[in-house]
Amino acid sequence: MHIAPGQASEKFLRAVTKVVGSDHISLADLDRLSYSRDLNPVSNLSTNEGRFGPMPDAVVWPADTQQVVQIVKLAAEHRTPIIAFGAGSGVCGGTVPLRGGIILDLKRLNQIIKLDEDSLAVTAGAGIIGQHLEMELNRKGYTMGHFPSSVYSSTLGGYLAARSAGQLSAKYGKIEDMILGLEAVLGTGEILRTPATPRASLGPDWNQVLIGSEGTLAIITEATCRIRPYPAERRFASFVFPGPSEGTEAIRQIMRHELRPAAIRLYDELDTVLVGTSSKNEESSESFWNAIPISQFGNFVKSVAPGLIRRTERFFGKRADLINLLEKFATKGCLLVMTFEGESDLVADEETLATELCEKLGGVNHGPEAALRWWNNRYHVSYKQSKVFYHGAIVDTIEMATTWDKLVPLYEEVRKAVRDMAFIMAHFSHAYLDGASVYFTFVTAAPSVEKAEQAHRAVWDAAATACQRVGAAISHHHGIGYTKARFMSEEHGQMMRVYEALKREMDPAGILNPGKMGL
Amino acid sequence: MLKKFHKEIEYGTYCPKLCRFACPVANATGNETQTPWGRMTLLHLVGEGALNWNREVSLSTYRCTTCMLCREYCDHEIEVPAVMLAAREKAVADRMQPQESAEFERFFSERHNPMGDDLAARLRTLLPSSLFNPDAQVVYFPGCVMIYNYPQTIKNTFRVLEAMDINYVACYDAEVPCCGVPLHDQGYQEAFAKNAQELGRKLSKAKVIITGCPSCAYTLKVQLPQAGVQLTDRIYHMTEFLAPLVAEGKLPIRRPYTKRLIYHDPCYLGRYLHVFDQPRQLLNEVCREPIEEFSWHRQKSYCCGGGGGIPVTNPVMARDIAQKRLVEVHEGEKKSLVTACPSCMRAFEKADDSVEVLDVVDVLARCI
Amino acid sequence: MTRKATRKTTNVELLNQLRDVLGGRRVSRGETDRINYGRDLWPRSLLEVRKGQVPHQPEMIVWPETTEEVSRVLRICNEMRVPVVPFGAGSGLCGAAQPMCGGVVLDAKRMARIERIVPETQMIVCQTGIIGAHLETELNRHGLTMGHFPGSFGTSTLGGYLATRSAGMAATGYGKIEDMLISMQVVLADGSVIRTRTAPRRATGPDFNHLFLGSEGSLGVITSATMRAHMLPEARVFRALSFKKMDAGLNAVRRMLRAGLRPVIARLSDEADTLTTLHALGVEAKDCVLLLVFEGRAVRIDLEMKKALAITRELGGRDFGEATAQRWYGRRNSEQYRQSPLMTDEKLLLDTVEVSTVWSNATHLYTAMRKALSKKVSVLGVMPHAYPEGCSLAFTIIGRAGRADDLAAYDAVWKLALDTAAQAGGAISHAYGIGRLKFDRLAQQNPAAVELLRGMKRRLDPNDILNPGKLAPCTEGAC
Repeated sequence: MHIAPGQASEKFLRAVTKVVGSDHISLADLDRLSYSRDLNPVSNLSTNEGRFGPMPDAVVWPADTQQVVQIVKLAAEHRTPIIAFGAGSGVCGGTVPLRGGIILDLKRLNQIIKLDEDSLAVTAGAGIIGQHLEMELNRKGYTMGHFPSSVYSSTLGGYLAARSAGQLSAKYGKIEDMILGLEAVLGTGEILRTPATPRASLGPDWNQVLIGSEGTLAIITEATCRIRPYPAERRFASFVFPGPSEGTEAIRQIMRHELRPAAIRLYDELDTVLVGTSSKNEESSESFWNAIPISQFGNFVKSVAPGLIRRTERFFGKRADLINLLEKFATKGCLLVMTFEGESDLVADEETLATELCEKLGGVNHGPEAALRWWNNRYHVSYKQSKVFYHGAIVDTIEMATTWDKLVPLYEEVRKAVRDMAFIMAHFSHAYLDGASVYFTFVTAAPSVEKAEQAHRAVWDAAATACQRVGAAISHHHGIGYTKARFMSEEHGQMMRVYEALKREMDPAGILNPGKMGL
Repeated sequence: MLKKFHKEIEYGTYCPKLCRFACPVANATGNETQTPWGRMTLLHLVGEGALNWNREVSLSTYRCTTCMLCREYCDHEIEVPAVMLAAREKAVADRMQPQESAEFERFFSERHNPMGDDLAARLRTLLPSSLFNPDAQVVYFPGCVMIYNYPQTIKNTFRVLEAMDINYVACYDAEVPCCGVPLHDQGYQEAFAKNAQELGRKLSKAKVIITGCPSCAYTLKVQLPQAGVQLTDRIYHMTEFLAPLVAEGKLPIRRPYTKRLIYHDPCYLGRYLHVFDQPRQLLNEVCREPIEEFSWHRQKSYCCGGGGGIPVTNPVMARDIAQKRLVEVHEGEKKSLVTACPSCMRAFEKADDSVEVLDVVDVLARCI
Repeated sequence: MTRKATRKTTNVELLNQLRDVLGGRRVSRGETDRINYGRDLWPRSLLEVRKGQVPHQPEMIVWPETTEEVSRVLRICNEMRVPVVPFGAGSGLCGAAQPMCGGVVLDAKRMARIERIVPETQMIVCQTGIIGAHLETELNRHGLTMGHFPGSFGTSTLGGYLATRSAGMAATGYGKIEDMLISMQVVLADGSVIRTRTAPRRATGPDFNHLFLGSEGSLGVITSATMRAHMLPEARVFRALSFKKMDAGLNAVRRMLRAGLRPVIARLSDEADTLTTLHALGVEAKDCVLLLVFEGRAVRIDLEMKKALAITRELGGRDFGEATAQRWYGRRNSEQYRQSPLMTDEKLLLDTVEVSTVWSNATHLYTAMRKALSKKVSVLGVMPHAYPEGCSLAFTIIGRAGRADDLAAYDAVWKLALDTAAQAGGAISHAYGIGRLKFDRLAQQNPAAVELLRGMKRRLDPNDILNPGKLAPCTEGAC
């Protein structure tokens, strides 16, 4: 394997070394390689084939904001790209160094700077790992309430930069709801600090401009976030509805009655099989990724080469019985799982009304087990994907959001658009007063990496067209990075002019994470 | 003339203008000047000598429908119409009134009414001569707009009375057909007083006066005494007169009224004379469908645009106000608008001829 | 930033071009209109108008009815380098809508059409010139409420709420205007129309809504918005409580919110405010009075009130019952009417300084503000809005308004107020915005943020036509 040397000037790298010290910069090929990808499926696929995309010239671990400022100033001077990096769990290639430059790994900015218990606020460095922050808060009797499935391998700065949403967003909000104030270094090296106040009317809210900008406008170095007392009680409930229409209607009713379950997730028929509606289905759930013979799914089979079938059968096995099992379960309905947390009497009240609403809408009460099981396995989904990649197939997720009137149409349109190209299933996992998100998982395969990339791209294009037709957001919480950058002009239209103006204003040298976000 | 309104003008200038959302003129124009706050500010600046009292300033005082809805939301309890009418009086005195207003006054003085026609003659063709009795004690005062625009409602009124075996009500048909409110609204207080004197003579024998027009009722009852002319104190709107009688079962209802109706409270009948229930009671007696209500109703009813002389000086504004009111009539199931004021009816019909507009009496008449 | 833009044309040409777009009736250059568009409700202007002065008269006022018309008006004004001041209903308290550099006032109130109400998605799409009270009435007819009730409810517009980042009386329960906004349409200075898109949430870059929210007319004209609404509450419960000291009251509210209670209103008066404002409204209670209102399902709000009362008892608060609080609720808008009698009869001026901070700093900020301001003016303190992390504090200040040097005294008090707030760790505006009043202090406090704002203004409005003189004082001869 040959890795080409970086493009950054030696003078620049020397200057950066002087800022951080030689222990905190690496030009080593292996480090460059590790930082060349995040968890986006295309990278995974290439990696599986032993191919690598663009490499950073160096990886730098600054110690504090002042060092970040100095590095950014140097990068601006030398016109060298600089890519802020948290823990690399992004699934859209947001940190892939498309044009080389340096990866600025912020994990040394990982201190909890202040815990203000009266104000329910925590101030921490952007590089702190989500789970570390959460554990520390838990120890003091608090929770941040932010639980993306990447929580073990993602950072506070990453949450903010990528506009993350956790599994308990219905109660605790998404990352943009948690922000009180932040500190960020602009592309000029200027530090922007927004006051940590519960609310102010002082012009544009720069927090909300920087959140979601994925390192293209500034490097977030520190943030003050809302926290909540660790819940006194947690309750679980599950219901099975005849179909997605009935299930989403129940979610809508729950939200409009101002109930705030912590988690509220509805699985479509196929995804319900995966999750299982009771504790007895443990096996089917666990074995799903090993067992589903995708080569036998509908039209998909016609589009794959015999060689591929052999290859995928290695992975999926010849388990026709499982198809039948799937079909049997597929008619079983849609599973809704909910968790409630907070003070006991308030939680009891919410669960009571939620139960009443679900039952009124035809939901069959399945007790707490299925929800409890979801809770216990809530981060496992990420592990399941590895096996798919290992076997050369490709799995990805598409998460979109729209208003209630368009939600089921969106679900149906995207499935229809993708069905012939990939196996696809979905759940609805973040609910709001005015709508919800739908989270598709699709699996496809191809005889070569190149073909797989094409297939992956084709699925996304078809899904994006459907998304546009129905009128939905192309991403609910995974972000854009570069893998979805081509959808940005459709997504924002003329508003991209404003994004470009922000870019020029905050990053006049164009050094911050270039080539991303459709800029 | 404005001195006695010092408090109103100063308070209005410094006020939080929270009544604006209720002001029909402010809502129709979207203009800051056309809010009570804006008009008071101008009068304040005139008072300070910072602004010349000219026709443009006076015109702003002619842009008030006198509907009094602002008063409902004014914690200072300012009665804006009184200030505006005083300012108009000053405008007339200083010859600063709008041209349309001056022309209107000339037109009015020819026939003692705003229609420029011999209304008494028109009236006599409508009803049998037996109904006209200058010495009657119970007098029906039809009002100019009713005679000129709604002769059928006058006929219906007497049909209803007849059906109820009430034969003691005579119709007023004197050569002074107008209560004078149009003059009052335009600031011609002198002419109004003269008209009032005439009316006082013509109506001196009446022990009870009933009218179908809320503006007439209010003028005869409240504004004439202010001009020194005291009529009988038993002055009623027709709905006030009819409601207790119909409640007693005096009206023989042959067939119920089956179409949908929405009731509009005329400002002068409602806010000025506090008559809210009687029209509704009458309608409920004869209608099969429940009477619909506007979201602005009863004490907080919204102007039709026909008040305060607005149709004379600002006809487009009057139309815009009426159209705003009619939005809810066009929503949902098809319905007719019913009210108890010929000026309101006229304002709505002029603004939108696709809406059927009825008087409460018309509805009653269709059921006998 | 100084105003570089210079006028290229005479106003007759401007008038003619605007009339071509809007017709004669929706363009005015009449004196009475110029006077009434010369001020908003910035109390400082009252000192001027009392003396017969209206200092910032526009040249013209226009009333567009559609986004297209706004776009055409802006194109003309941009071409001619004429200032344009977007205007809602002029209830701002910081002078943000005053045409400091003359030019054209663009009154949005004729853009009041409700385009769509979708009860199913709890959404309303409407033009931004609609008055708050009208919008709420329409929503109520569909069984919905927006929950946005600023004191100016009857004389403020949706566009104004968005442009100034407004928060209403029930913000503790229903959130602030930014929580209600889903998407909006904005016309930029060059007339181009851009929009954010509707979805309950998206992770597709910055939230562009938040660039225009609070921009106070300096970056664009917001012409249409899609807003969230809530179901009308089934029930409402009230309580008047009281605490010996402000500190205890603040602590009680903090504890309630921390426990997960969601009152729609939690309003705490200090002793001075209780004795004046509340007593005038018939609230017969002592010390620091906390007015609590819960709305929603009957079962839920009873439960929440029960918990709130338990916290109150624990902290030594007194209960003045439901009726006392209801009396306040029924007359809550009367507070807005204190100005006129003071100005007319007492030659006194009233203003409100409202700031915000986190709970751990609330008592410090309150004490510092009260102490500093009391040396110059009478002070009534209130905590009008609370959040789980902190609260806003509003100080009604009453000072003299009958002498020649009143303007200077007014400015000095405000300087003291903002300096004190900033030094004591407060944000210098919670919900009223910046306007002319607070901009200089903001620039001093957060130069980086202000530079960004100015930079964005230069990029989106290179000729500085949109509400000039706000992000920097108007320079002599520039306009």
